[in-house]
Amino acid sequence: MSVLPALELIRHTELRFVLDAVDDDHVPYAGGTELVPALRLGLRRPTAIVDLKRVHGLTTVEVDAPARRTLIGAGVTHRELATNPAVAEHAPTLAGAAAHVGNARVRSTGTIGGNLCFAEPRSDLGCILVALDASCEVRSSRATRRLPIADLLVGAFEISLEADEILTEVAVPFEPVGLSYWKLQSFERPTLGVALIRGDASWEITVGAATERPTRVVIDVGDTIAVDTFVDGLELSDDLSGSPSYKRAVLRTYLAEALRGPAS
Amino acid sequence: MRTTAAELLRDQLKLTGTKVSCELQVCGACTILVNDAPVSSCCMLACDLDGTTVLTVEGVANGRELHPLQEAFVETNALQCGFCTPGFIMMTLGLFAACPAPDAAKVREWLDGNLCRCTGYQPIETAVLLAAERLQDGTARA
Amino acid sequence: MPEPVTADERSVRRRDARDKVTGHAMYAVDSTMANMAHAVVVRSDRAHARITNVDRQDAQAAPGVLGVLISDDLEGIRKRFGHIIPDHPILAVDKVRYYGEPVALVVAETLHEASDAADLVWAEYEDLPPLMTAADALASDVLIHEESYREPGEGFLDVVPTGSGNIAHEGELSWGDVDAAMATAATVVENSTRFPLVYGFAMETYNAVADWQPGDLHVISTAQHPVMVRKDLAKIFSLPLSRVRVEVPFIGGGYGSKSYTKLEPLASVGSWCVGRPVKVTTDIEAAINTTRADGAFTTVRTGFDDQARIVARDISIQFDTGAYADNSPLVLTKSINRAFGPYRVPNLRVRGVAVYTNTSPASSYRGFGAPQGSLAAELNLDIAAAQLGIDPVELRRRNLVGPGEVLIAGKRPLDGDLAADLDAVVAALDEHQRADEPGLRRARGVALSASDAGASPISTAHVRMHADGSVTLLTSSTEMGQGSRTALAQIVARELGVELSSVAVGQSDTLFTPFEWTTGASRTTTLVGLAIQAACDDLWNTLRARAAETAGCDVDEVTARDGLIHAAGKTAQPAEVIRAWFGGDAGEFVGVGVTRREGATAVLPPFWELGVVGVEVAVNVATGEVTVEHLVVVGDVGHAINPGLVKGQDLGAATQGLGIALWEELLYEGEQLTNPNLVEYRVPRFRDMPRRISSVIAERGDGAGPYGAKGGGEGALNPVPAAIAAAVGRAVGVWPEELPLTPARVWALLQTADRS
Repeated sequence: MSVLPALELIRHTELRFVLDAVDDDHVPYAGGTELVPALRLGLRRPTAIVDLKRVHGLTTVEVDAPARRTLIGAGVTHRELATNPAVAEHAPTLAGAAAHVGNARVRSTGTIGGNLCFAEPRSDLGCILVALDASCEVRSSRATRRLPIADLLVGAFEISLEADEILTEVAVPFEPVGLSYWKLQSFERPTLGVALIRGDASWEITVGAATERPTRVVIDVGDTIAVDTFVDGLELSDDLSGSPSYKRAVLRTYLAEALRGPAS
Repeated sequence: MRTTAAELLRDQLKLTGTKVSCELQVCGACTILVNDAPVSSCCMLACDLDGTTVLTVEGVANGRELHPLQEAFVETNALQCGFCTPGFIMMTLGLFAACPAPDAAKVREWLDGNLCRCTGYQPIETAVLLAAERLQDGTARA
Repeated sequence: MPEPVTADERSVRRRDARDKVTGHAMYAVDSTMANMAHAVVVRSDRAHARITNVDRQDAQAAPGVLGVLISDDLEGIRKRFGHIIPDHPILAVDKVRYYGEPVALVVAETLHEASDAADLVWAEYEDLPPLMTAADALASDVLIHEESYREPGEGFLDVVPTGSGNIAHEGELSWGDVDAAMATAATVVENSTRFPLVYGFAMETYNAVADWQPGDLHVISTAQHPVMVRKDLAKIFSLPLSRVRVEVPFIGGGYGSKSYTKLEPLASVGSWCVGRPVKVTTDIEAAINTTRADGAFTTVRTGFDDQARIVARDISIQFDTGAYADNSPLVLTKSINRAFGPYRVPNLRVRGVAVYTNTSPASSYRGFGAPQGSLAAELNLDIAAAQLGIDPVELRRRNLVGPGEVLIAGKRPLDGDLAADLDAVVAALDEHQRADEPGLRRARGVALSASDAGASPISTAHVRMHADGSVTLLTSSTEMGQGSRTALAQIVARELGVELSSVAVGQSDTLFTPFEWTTGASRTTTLVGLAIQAACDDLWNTLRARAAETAGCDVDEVTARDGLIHAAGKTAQPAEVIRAWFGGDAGEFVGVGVTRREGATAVLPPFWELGVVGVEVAVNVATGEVTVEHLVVVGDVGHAINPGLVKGQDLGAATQGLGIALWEELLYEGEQLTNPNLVEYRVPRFRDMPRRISSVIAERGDGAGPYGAKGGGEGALNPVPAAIAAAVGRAVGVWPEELPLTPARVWALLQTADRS
């Protein structure tokens, strides 16, 4: 068996103490789903880990009706996301995707914040959140800021957070009519994910899993040439689940089928 | 703080029923229940068990009497080398806690999160459905 | 003596099931020894390089460290092992030959301390050209092994060191005149296939605990063959066999991948160095870098006459056998024997070569060379059938060897009815055939194999009857999930007419259990079974003789019938005979049984292990995903001691076959593996279960084993890759040449079909 490196543990229940503690060498974690394997592989060598699970205020789900959005604490687990009534009502596609992240063990401990901050490209949640124009709140001891999830996820395993910032909340707009999420997954991680919003005037297509970050385009209804241009222009990963041309072909076939006929 | 939950259980508490294999949350051999939810003990820090209720495979039988799920595994030959078995038992108990009367599709979906290299899975599905049926209709008590 | 009759009655519960569902079952990885230290292996990060320096100073000074060993420290003991070719260093000697090869061993009080110190060992290398494929290795002047390791009289397989290029072993099986026959054949069909590098993925990874004391060595490990490991360790440390104890508890998966010596020397030298018991474990990546299965490139040419009968087969098999030979020379030999299939082949030439490469060492895995050859050769028949316009099943029927016919001169005639098995498979497939749907193409495939299995028929069993009539069986066979502990007890109970619950089984501890060749080659039920029958006969003879003594009559006047002893007009329980002879409520009689190359097992192989498989698949033309709609396996085992266990083994084996066919491949990029973990190396999962599974056991009593038994456990894997390849080929319109048939590969085949 392989082992973890020596680590100190920092725990607080007040966010401000956690924010003071967090930096490159004192990394935040919640479920540990991503962190523990990364530590074991020697990919990260912090002196300490900062437990976010006991911090007040990071695990709530609240509906902000006037702004037509649901506010999800970064520490909400996939399991909670999948079963929370408010999420089921206002973001059912997100809830559905959360119900299938990894396996039931991963869903017990993995959190939406942890998932986003790990920024594994082969992921469903990021794609759906970008499609929904979700945003997040990021805090440090210096400041609080908001940014779109699309700007948080900048690359494969790369986020636009400073080392002393933590993600505290995700704001998810109520899902529009006409949203669907489809994915191809034959391996442990998804190969290709497509979030589609078929509106009256536009097609909003967000492609994930095969891309380094969820990639979104808004196209006039019926403009199949623009769809082709978008698909041809995507940079797709070349890995054990297939070549870029394979993924491009599957994507093209899926979109042709999904965009045909009237929006349901 | 570098001790995983699995190491705590196996090396310090000598509860070696929980096994370690893939170390990436794929295989489920290390599954335990923490507050009734299944977790991968090899990817959880021991310090995060602080304040929780933990159930391992050693705590499933009632003294000498096997749990109906264990009994079903024995009856249907739902094991061969047995290394994945404690993980499947615990993962299934996690399923029953969330969904007491799962159908075959639900069983397959949930247990797709555990690997077995010996059986080809079919007898495990049979065992789980048999146990669920018995627990539901009262012919067996947990 | 109530004879169990029905399949249900014979399918008793597993002896070890209760222990395994409660977590009570102990495996080597759970084992500890008093005052045990922990060792971590420092592994090479080069595929091929000379070691110029190993800096251990920082590691030696680290907290808790008891010792840091390199090969130079192994003074007075043998530095290499290898039961066929002793080419395998315990710790790399002057060069490393694959990424992940053990270079140093760090021993410390705790695993954490050993691991931290291992990070402080700095190895320096002078790179050599890495030969990452068999083709590269054959074409290069660079030698992976620069010396010959042949020691006269060593090893049980007569392997001639080739000294030419990077060839570990080569062989040929031939008869007739292949070239002449091909020249006059009406049709010649040729194809090639690539069989991937596969990882056994036993869920318990390799591990060992060793306690070396002056004059004694005690090891607990995951070894399928404790006796073979004992022999290697005795040689390494110049100890008599009697003073090396290899103990194997339950094994968490074997499948052949735990055959022969693995980590035991490392743990042993660790203990030898620090003077305390030492435990060594592996994670998945280290396990993959301990042993994998041979990849293969196979080419088959078959000549047919105008009646579609085979007139000749010309086959070449090239193994990628990794950095060290381990058991691969024997796997190659068997692959050569098994490649042409269970058919009449008047003219044959099979040539095989096992090539060293700078990759993880390959060795035994379930199927043992049969899948590698069968993939190409069975697919060849499907290609031929299409070309000749004949049904592929009919083509096989026309050429199948029948019961009692000779497959290979000098070997046992075929002891099975493959035509009947084939009929059963086809009937099952026909019953549940489904039509195409939009976007889905369905097709089926059938494949057959016959393996000269059983390995060497050397087996011994001790059956101890106690003063109360209960019995203990001692055997060095191991329990790795195949159910030997249960099935062997069943044989004892049947032979002695005792309750199954009164039979105890002691396994796999060389201090106490008698010699067993190996646990593998599907041999245990048959060969250990025969030894048990002989031991029980011996026990009955002893009981009769002792009863005669006690009664004062001639032994010829004493009979054993219905589990009782009849002497001088009196009837006695065996237990009474024992107590009467010893006096007091005491005593024990031991029956000893031996199987050798004589009697039922004079002719090799002890049995042919047959594989008959059918599949129906559905291919999604948009994504290339393959769903197995129907899997049919026939276990032609002669007699199933425990049918439930046989079916379990057949499904497990077939599932591993599906893994090879659809998902599994280790991929090297440059010098290292891209996927040495369970996220990127994909094994069959719950969702992959075939929609319908038909598992049939054929019991015709045609085996040489107990009650007409033959071996099983590998037969159901052997033909699966070929059957899937044929089915997918039919569905997509292009015959595959490479496994696994992942969605992306199938999609690529579909594109090829569209273009043509």
